[in-house]
Amino acid sequence: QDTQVAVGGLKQDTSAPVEVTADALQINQTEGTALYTGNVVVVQGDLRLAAPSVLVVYSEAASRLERLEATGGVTLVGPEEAAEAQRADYDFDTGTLVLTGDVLLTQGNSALTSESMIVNLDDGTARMTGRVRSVLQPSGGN
Amino acid sequence: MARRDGAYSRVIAWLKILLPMIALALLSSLFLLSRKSEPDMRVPFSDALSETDLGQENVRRASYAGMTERGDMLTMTAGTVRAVGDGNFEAEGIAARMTLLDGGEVTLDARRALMRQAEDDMVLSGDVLFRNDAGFELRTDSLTASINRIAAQSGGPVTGTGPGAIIEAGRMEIEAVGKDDDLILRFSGGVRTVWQPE
Repeated sequence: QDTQVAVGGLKQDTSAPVEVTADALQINQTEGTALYTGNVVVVQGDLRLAAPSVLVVYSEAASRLERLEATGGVTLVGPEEAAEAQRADYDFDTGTLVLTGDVLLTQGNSALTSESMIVNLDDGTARMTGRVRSVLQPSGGN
Repeated sequence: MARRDGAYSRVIAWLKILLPMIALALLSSLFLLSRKSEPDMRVPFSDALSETDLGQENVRRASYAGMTERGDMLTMTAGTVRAVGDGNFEAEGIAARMTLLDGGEVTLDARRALMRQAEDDMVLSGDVLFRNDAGFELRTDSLTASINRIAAQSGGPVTGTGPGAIIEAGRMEIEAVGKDDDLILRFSGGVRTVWQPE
């Protein structure tokens, strides 16, 4: 069953500049890919995504960013929400961010877990799918 | 002279045909053989210069063209070039351009270059600028570039731009890898990039 969740804090202008910092970067020009490794942090507006490895696919012709794949355990932090998952795929064209694998979404003192979550960054809504369960945080716990 | 019996004249007749044929075969194989031993096209910059007597004094507007092992064309021009001993040369105002097998182009400009014959490379320093047709433009203070294959490493930090991105890093390496020699740019020592999605 799917659960629709409002994640207003994750609303984001997906055309805003994206800053990526890391220990190392390898760009393969022929493939149009940039592989960041080691403490990778991706920041766009108020969104901050951290992962050990992030592959960016860019279009050389249009000289712009197309999508990125963060793997190896991802944490995503917005002004109001935070999420964790094994992997995150961000498509800049469609403005969707898909988290997959042990997804944990925390908002205030409520938390939801699921197998995957699709966030529409344009309107700040998310759909969680696969064994969605809510986890009640002990109040005042965080 | 009486006419000998038929055998003799028949042998002569055959020889008149066979001998020119053999000569022809010999000639063409000679030609074929010589093509295989093409002189080695890859003459490192420093050898080219030291062979000429110009190698000793200052040379104005020197230029060099050669080919890397896999066949990329390398052309270089320099303002002044002078020999600095054991086959090494120092050049001012150097501009190198490499046309890759796949048609791609890389250019390297720098204020100074030290051509090292033993290492078959050149150490570029002073406003080193790396550019290529994929839209990368990267600046650093020093870069060591091999002459006979596509490989280079910066001596220190690099800043510049790529297709749709600003790039800053502690160090940079350039290399052509894989069977069709994709150009790989490796940045390390801390990397910061800003991409512009739109």
